[in-house]
Amino acid sequence: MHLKRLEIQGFKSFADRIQLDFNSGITAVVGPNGSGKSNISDAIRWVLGEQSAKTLRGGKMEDVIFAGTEHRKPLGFAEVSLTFDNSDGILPIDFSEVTVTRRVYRSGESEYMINKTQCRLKDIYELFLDTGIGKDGYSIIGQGRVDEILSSKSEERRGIFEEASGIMKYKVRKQEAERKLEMTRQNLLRINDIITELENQLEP
Amino acid sequence: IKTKERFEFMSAQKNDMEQAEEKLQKVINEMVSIMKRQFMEQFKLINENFNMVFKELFDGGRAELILVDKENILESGIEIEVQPPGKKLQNLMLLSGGERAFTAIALLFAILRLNPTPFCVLDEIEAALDDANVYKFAQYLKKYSNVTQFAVITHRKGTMEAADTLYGVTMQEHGVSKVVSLKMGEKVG
Repeated sequence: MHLKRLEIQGFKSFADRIQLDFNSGITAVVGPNGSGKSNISDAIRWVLGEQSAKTLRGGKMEDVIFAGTEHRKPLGFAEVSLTFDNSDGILPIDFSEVTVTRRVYRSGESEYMINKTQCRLKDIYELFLDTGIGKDGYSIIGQGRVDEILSSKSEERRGIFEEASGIMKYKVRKQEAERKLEMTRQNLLRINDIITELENQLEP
Repeated sequence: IKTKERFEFMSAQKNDMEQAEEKLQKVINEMVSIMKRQFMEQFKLINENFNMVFKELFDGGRAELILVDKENILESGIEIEVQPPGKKLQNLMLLSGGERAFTAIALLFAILRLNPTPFCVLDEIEAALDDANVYKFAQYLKKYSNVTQFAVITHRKGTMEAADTLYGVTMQEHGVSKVVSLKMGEKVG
C-alpha cells in the first residue's frame, strides 16, 4: 500500500483545488515560510479523522475552511481526498484503489466517504486499524513530536513510548475497569449502610 | 417480616457486588501485568533500535534509554543518555540544540523501524540540524524509502536533493496557496 494522490479544495489556504501525486520514494514539499506547506500535513491528518481543531492549529473545526482574503470570498466547505494504492490488499476492502474523503461545511456538518460512498468516521478508523496509519500513529510526525521527546520532564516523554509499545488499548480498558470498580464500591457502601440499619430493626 | 425479606435481599445484593468487585480487581491486575510485560519487551526493542539508528546517524557513539524507576515501570519517567562520537556520555539536556533534535529524530526513526508504517509524513522535523546532519538525515530517508514512502515538508536543501519528486507551495496571490511541481532547478508547470 502506498499514497497515490492528495486532493485539497477549500481547506485552509488552498482556495482552489490542488492535486499532489505521490510516487514511491521520497516526495518533498518546499516553499517559503507561511506559504501553506504545513497545511498539507494538516490536510492529511484531517482526512484521516483528526478531531482536535487545536492539533490542526485552529480554534474550531470550521476554521479549516478557506476564510477568504481581500480579493476572495470565503468558501462554504472544505474537502480533502486521499487516495491509496491497495493492490497488495493491505486495507481490508475489495478495491485496488481506495479514496477516503472528508468534507466539512460552515454549518459544522461533516461528511466522510470511502470511494465516494458516504460512511461514518468509525468506518475510516476501522479501515486503517492496525496499519499504523491514522491520526495517532507514526505516519505523521510534526515538530510537536520532536518537542515531546525533548521535553525536560522525563514523565512527559512516556506518551510516545506507550504509543509505540502498543499498550494504549490496555490502558483504556484498565481505566474502564477502574471506573466500574469505583462505582461498585460506592454501591457496596450504600448497601452496607442499609444492611446495618435493617439489622438494627431486626434485632430488638 | 418485611424487614427480614429486605435484609435478605440486600445481603444477596451485597454478595453479588463483592463478587463483581473481586472480578474487576482481577481484570485490572491482568491489564497491569500485560502492560508491564509488553512495555518491557517493546522498550527493550526500541532501545536496541535506538542505539543502532543513533550510531548510523551520528557515525558512532552510543545512545540508551533508561527507565528512571525500575520498580514502577508503568509510571516511571524515561531518561535519554547519549554519547556522540568523541564526547562523554551525557544526559540529553546537556547536548546542543541541533544534537538534541538529531537524537530525537534517531528515536523517531528507531520507533518507525520497529513498527514501520506504509507511508510517513515528516513536517520540518530536520529544521534545527546543520548541513552535515541534514545530509545524513536525507541519506537515511533514502535508504529506508523502499520500506516506507516518505512525504517530507522541508526547506532544507539537503533533504530536497534526496527527494524523487518535488512540489513547491507558493502564495502568489495573498492568502491563497498554489502548488507547482518542480524538477530540481527548473519549473515545469
